[in-house]
Amino acid sequence: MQQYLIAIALIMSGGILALITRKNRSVSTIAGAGSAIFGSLIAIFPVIKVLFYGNSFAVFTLNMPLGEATIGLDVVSAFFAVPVLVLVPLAAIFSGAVSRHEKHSADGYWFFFNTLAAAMLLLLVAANAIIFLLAWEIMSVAAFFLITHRDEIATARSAGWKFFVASHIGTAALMILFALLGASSGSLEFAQFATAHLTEELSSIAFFLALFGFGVKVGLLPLHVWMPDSYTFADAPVSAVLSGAMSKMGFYGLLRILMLLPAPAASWGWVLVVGGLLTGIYAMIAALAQSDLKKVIAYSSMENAGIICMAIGCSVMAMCWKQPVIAGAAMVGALLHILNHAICKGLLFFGSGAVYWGTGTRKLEMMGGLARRMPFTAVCFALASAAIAGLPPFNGFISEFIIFVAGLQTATLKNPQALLLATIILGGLALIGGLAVATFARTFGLVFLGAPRHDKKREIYEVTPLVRVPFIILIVLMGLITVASPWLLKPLLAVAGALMTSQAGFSAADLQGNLLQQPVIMVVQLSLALLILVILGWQIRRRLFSRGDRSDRLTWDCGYAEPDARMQYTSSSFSQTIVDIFSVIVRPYRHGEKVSGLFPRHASYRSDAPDSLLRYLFLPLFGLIDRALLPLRALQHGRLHLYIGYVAITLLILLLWKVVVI
Amino acid sequence: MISPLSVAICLVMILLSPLLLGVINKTKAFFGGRQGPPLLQLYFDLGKLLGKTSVYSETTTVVTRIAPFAILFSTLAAALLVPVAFRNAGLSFAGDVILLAYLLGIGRFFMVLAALDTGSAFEGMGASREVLYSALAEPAFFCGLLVLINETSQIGLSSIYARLTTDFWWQNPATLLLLSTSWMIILLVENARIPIDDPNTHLELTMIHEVMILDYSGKDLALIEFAGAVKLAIFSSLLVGLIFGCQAQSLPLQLIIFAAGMLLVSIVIGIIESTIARLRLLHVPKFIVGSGALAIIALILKLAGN
Repeated sequence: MQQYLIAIALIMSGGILALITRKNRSVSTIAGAGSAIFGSLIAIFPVIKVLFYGNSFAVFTLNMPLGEATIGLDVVSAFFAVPVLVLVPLAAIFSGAVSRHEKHSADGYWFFFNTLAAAMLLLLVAANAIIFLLAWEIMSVAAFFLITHRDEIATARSAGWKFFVASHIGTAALMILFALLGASSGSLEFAQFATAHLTEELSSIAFFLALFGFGVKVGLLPLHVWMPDSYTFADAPVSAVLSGAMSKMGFYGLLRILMLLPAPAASWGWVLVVGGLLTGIYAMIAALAQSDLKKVIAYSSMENAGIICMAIGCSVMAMCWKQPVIAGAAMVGALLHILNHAICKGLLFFGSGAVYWGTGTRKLEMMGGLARRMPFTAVCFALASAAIAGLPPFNGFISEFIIFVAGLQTATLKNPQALLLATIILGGLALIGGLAVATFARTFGLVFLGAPRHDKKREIYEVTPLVRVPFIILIVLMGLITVASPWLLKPLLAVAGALMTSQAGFSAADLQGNLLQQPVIMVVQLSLALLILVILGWQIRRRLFSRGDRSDRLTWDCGYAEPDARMQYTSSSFSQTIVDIFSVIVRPYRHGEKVSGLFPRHASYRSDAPDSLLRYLFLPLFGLIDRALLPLRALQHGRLHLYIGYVAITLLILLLWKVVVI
Repeated sequence: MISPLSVAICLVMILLSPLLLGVINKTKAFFGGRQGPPLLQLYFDLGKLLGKTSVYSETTTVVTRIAPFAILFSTLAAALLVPVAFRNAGLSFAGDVILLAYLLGIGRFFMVLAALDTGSAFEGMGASREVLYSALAEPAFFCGLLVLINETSQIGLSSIYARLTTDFWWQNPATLLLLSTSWMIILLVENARIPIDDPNTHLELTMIHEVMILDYSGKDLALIEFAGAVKLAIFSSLLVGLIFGCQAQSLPLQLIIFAAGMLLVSIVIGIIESTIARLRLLHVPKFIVGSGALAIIALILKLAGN
């Protein structure tokens, strides 16, 4: 535990040092990145100890001015610390390595980066509502400054603003939630919350407040509007940390609150499952309509959040129906998916950073054929794409497989509701998975394959050796998780068990992890055998049976002898068939005049798909609120003495209230 | 669980799978009043292609070279997971059906990437259609599967099929009819047959599967064509196992009934291809979603029966 706190202090002090030395880029980078890497390495030890050896339940009590506050590292916190401790140092390496070629001033970059990292680590050990909210706010504010790092770009500012508003609306819900829990338990300690005997209505209200508050960070359907823009306009390593680690804090909060509330109600599970399903489908369709590489990846984060939500919902339902095996499998699947998503998303965002760095654009329509110029990035991106689309033999498939198995087991129950749940989970996951394959085949295919669409005069740069380090580490981790997944089930089951013992009364033994282990071993063996066979077959063919093959011919275009890169299928034409079917949801808009005559001189076509919920729900809604609150602007005039008057009047009213009412 | 005998039967099925296409073509020739190509035509084609060299487009990368192996081996691995001849599959475990679906997904992923790798507008078109139709077909397949899981309380494909008795189908003929129709449609979609796609046409604008492999030649094309035949065998054997819930205990009898079933499925595909025209592309998604709707009706019937 001390080690963990030392790591937080180290990261934070490195950030402050970087702020002081911000004028000197290399010193500030070494201070910021160095402390983030070193701090994470220190913190990983206590985390591994808790996760794999269990029971080292160290609790620290701080004596604060307004009462005691507890911090403690349990298995659940330790599990969620893993994505943070993996992505923060790797993002620091990536950022540090590219910063030498950076023209933009570093300013507070490292300060906010390290603050974000430290705040996430502090959040995870907070066992007190005040510390939790404090860490939550610091995390959000640091993230805001990182998103708006390139504040000379108007879109980056507006993206940051959206994040700021969304995240504070979410925090407001969390404040109400903790006030509610605090009022009914008489303390702000998490341990006391668990002993509060909430009525059924109150606990439902608490759950939905938590779902709303944490749902903003996770990116659940209507609350995701900040996500695509923020991930797009933040720097690539920051996007990786935001998507892989920070947004997972939302799941941490949700699960933590679930642990503290009494036994869950079936309605919670339904909301999670249906919400997750809609989130996943919406996100994938929106992703297919995007023409910006990072927006596609951002929407895929939302899709994975949907999958994880569905799995958690399935687990909650199974808890209600007293089905420990299903509850355990679904929860283990959700947890493993959180881990896998963090790793794949790290790779994808780093890859998008490398592509942006190499080509100077994020527009899919301007890319193509990059695999020849950037072979390393292409291989990394391909592996990450296959993994995040849930294809075997990669880690993403293992977690989806476990969630699917939970769904299949649900279908064996002779209960109409269970069959409905299984239909939603299996049908939904299959649809989302199919669309994910479409999205990532499109993204990888259009960026790295085919003929180059970009400006021929521009040099394309491959990443430097130092930048390759985080990619390689993430790929090794991907391989490790895949191969070791049968053994990872044990610690994951321990986490799932910790989440369930208090409300459902399931012990870790009830979850029967061994039922899961055997199929997972089979899946891993078969898919690894497949991988080896494919590589072997390809190499044998290449070395022994390739005599006479030639690769200097044009692509077959029905005999057309002068193919041009502009004749290729573009990203918007690739997804048009799918987007057209779901155009009610995505509502793309298209510009361009009709081509007429035999030899048209000029023709242009442009299509875009801004987030339809932002456009049709939130902008009108906030416009309405804006107009309603316009008269209040009179209060904001800039005269200091009147502001002091407001404070005095408020205090007077509060005093009167205290005397008269209470 | 690994069952050596089933692995052997599965290998035989894989080796004989090109015959299914021969049967389909013979049926179509019969309806067209022609003699038709010989039953073994695909073997001749494969032999000829294997002897030829390949020509690659200069735009292609290593993806095009790996893809045929990824497509073939993932399909072969999927075949190992399918119950054959009313016995357990070569490899069976809880949740194997998910792996089956995703192994076919790998093949599709590589096929699409290889199509995009050539930078051809035609192949991009085919790839775009393929990903859409398969994304719609997969949920429909799983909905049908749920009926069987709920009926048998098993989650492994082999154990589900082992419990599908003829008695059950006599009691629920409607469910059988709905499910087999739904899976028949999925078979047609996944194997790019009429009315979704036309394996014979060379009008690139209307094709899906054929257009994606337009740039493949020689040995690579042979591998892909063979994988296509195996995929057809996989879906046919799923359908045969569903319809003929066989109680026969002796191996020869099982094999005979299974072979007859496979033959029947091929003939039915041939009849469908001879009597129905290709759908307009706009109507294909409706057709696939229709198969999902049939499976959901079967689910509702199951619920009402519970």
